[in-house]
Amino acid sequence: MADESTRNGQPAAVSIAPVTRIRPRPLSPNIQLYRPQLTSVLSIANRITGVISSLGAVGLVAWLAAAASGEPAWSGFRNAVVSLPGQLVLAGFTYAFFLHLCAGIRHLVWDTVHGFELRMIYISGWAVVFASVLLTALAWAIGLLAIA
Amino acid sequence: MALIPLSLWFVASLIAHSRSSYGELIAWLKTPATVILMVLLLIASFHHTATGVRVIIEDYVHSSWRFAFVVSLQLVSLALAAAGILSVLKIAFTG
Repeated sequence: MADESTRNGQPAAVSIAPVTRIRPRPLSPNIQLYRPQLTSVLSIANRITGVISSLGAVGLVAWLAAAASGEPAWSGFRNAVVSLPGQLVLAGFTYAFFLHLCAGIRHLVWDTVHGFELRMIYISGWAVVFASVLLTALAWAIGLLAIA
Repeated sequence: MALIPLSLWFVASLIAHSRSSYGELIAWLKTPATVILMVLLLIASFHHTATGVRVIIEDYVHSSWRFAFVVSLQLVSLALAAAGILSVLKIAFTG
């Protein structure tokens, strides 16, 4: 509800000017205005999974350091990984890795100036989605079943 | 690009060694091929991490913190890669 005193008689600029000065200028593009599309979702997913994979690389160093410092430290690390929360984190790292890998290969194809037609963008995009899910499932299926 | 074969080798190796004992794992980590590939994996991974996260920092941090964040990122990446390589070499030559 607008204040009566500002609505009647007062010039609008007097009350609005201080507000516009403290409000930060909008950044472009206004991401919250866009409807999510496969292209934009995959673009940000590639970044997010890259950051998650970086954390996975930190885990790799922790694992190597634990192995290097002796069996007790390694056993502690292993027990954490084989626990249910540990397995869920590992599954998350696996999916993040495969999505980032597939999206990265898609970028390498783009680097050769191929596949920029809108149709091909969507075909390769869905290929990344399905391949990352399939590879994650395959890796865990082999890990859990084949090597029993 | 080197990360594609290196990371796939690493994931396949982890699956293969998912039920290995400590002794079996150390024996595998001591083989020359594993040492070389693991060191290359660490270098390539943390180089990729440092360049990738740097772009993200430069896209989202507009304050004067940007320079400090980028330098910290590079130092941490270097330290982690060095720690990983040192661990691999320690296992290879002593452990």
